[in-house]
Amino acid sequence: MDYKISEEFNVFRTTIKDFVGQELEPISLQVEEANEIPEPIMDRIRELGLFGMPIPKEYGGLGLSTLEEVMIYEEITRTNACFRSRIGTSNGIGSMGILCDGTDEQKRKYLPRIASGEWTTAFALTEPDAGSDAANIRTSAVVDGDFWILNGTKQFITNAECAQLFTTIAVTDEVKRARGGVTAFIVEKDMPGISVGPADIKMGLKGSHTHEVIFSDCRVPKENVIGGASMVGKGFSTAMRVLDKGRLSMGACALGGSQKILELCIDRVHQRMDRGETTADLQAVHFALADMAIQVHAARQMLHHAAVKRDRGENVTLEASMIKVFATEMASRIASNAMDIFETDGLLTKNRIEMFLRDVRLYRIYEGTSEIQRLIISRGLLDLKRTGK
Amino acid sequence: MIFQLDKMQKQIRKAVVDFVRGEFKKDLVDDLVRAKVYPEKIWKKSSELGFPGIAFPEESHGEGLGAFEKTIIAEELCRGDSSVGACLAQAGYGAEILLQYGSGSQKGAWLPKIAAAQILCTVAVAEPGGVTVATTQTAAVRDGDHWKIDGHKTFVRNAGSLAGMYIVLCRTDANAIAPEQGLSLILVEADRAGIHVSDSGARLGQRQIPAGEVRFDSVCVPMDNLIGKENQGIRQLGDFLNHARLSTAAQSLGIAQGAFDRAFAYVQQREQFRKKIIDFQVTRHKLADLATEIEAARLLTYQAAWAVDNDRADARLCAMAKMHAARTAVAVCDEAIQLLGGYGYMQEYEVERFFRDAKTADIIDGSRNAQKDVIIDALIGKK
Repeated sequence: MDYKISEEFNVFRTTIKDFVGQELEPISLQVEEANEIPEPIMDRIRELGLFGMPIPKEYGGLGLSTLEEVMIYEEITRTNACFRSRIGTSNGIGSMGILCDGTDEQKRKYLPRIASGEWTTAFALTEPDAGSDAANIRTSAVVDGDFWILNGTKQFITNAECAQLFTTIAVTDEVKRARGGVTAFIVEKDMPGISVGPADIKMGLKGSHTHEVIFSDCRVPKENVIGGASMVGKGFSTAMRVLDKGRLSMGACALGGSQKILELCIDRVHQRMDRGETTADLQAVHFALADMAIQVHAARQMLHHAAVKRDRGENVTLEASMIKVFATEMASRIASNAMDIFETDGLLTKNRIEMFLRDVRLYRIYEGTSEIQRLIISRGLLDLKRTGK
Repeated sequence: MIFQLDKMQKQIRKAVVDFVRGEFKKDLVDDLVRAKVYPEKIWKKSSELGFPGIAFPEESHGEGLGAFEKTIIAEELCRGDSSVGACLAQAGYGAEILLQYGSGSQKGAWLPKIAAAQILCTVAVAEPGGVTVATTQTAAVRDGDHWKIDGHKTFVRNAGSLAGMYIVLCRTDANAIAPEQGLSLILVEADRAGIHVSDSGARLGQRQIPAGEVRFDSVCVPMDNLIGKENQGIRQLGDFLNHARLSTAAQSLGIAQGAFDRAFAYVQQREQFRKKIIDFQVTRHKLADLATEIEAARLLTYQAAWAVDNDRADARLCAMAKMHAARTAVAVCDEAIQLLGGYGYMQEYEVERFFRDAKTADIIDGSRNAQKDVIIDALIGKK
């Protein structure tokens, strides 16, 4: 099913496609090796408006629809995953709380500089003892005059070093906790009492960094509760809603990477055939390509369909979970199969495939593991909330 | 059929477990891994265990044991650490060629050095540009009483400063009717003039094993450096590959078990949702599946090792063992990452490195499709 996109968006999409091919791809290995995105490239990303994709035009963003946004993610992830990570964390989970639940004043104050990329954001939810069990967070926030005092340790926070703003989830009522006792805060980097640890050394996603963030009597003004005073205690659902939207984006990322890997495999097979391997010699590989293409096609339909539904205002919680599982597991399988097709050459980083293999692996873990997604889906299917089982 | 190690084999396994506990200290291994440095000290210490030469005859300074003992040692070393284990298990890569086809003086010159962990052994077969073994272009031409070798080999494991020599697949008969009939294996000492080694570059896994592109520019070696008979290279290589596959299977087995052990320990202590992760049914069942797969891969690998030791060296079994153990290791390591959650993606928690080493084992010494061809050809009875 072809979903209609505007000519204006089509031009933008082509611009991004060209940007990826002409400016990101040539430095791919350099970024992988240096574990850093060069600042001039960050400036280009800002210029192109990528930091402001989902942010409404009135706040300086591009105001893209969900469908448009996922299509751009499909383009950006055709190379190292770190670019999407830096951008998508910032305009996604790092700021979605403000976009969805913020007061008008908060939106006016923060969204424009997030949209321009002047400020990068991070989402501080995860803790050493609160991974999948997000409700188990320990970071506390206690009132002291006109301030909240935050204490606690967050872990694996993407963008922590380069972020100016942390959407921080803390416990404001130890008894109620996730049921009315958790609050979402806008914490600015230069507020006293924040320290960021060294970058974690990861399997992949080089160029994107995660860190421990320690809040030690961190003083946050009362106005920085996302949504204002009436939203105190309602931050857990903000956090869950933020992650919910991120799942479609994750699906798009897995799809973009998978599509690129498929294309690299097709090129490789052509190369092998040019060197004299026949169709008969390569039948198994030909079938492997077919299997990859089938899955990529299925994932694309799932994704675009759900994106369009969301743009119509419909709830896509279950579909988003399904796409996240399906597309991210697909990406791992396709990357592994690609390694088999490239054989020993696939082991070498310069041939790209093994980089994709390592990059896509995290997709099955962060922003809700595949296991959590299956919990969400099965509970939805069985309507457990309603039946109370 | 006896599904049990004998007393000596149990002692060997225990000796390796003790060696791993004593030598594979986490801080040391982490430093070596981070710096991508060959574990030289540990390798040299392993010769005290008799490891690199475990299956060499005693007159070659070996322990006079067999492929089975070599298998259980490689398994335990890789279980201890997938990367350091792989280095040690591949230190003697190619030695079986000398054992089976080498002359007395070739064996005398090299096997003791390999057994003493003084040099790494290498085999140089693959060439750039998708050239197949049959169409090998590296040429060895008679020049007086020498061979003159010219060519370019890719991804030669152990190539570089620690290598003692290169066992090189060369074209010795340019006029052979079938191209694969004109190939020989020739031993080239690493200090011969004209050898140029350059690092193959950053890669997925087993990063501490040196791997390089090796160019031979008119390298001259004595005629005596020919291994066995002329134009028998393909056959000799075929016999060697049984050992290589078996070794990779053993390493994969260890990698799988090592990843399983780590994940198993983790899920018994990590709590989320007020339970230990192992108390979730899905986790329990995942672990049951993984343990079953490892057990099956172990039995297949041990059967292949037994066959090699009992003069039933079987390409079919060795290929099955390699393919199955390697894909089992990949699956187990992948799931181990998942069981550790975010920690699974962090280098510090090791399982992601076990995965990368497992996937490397899956690809080297013939990927899955290559193994399948060997298996079905054996079933059909093709020679």
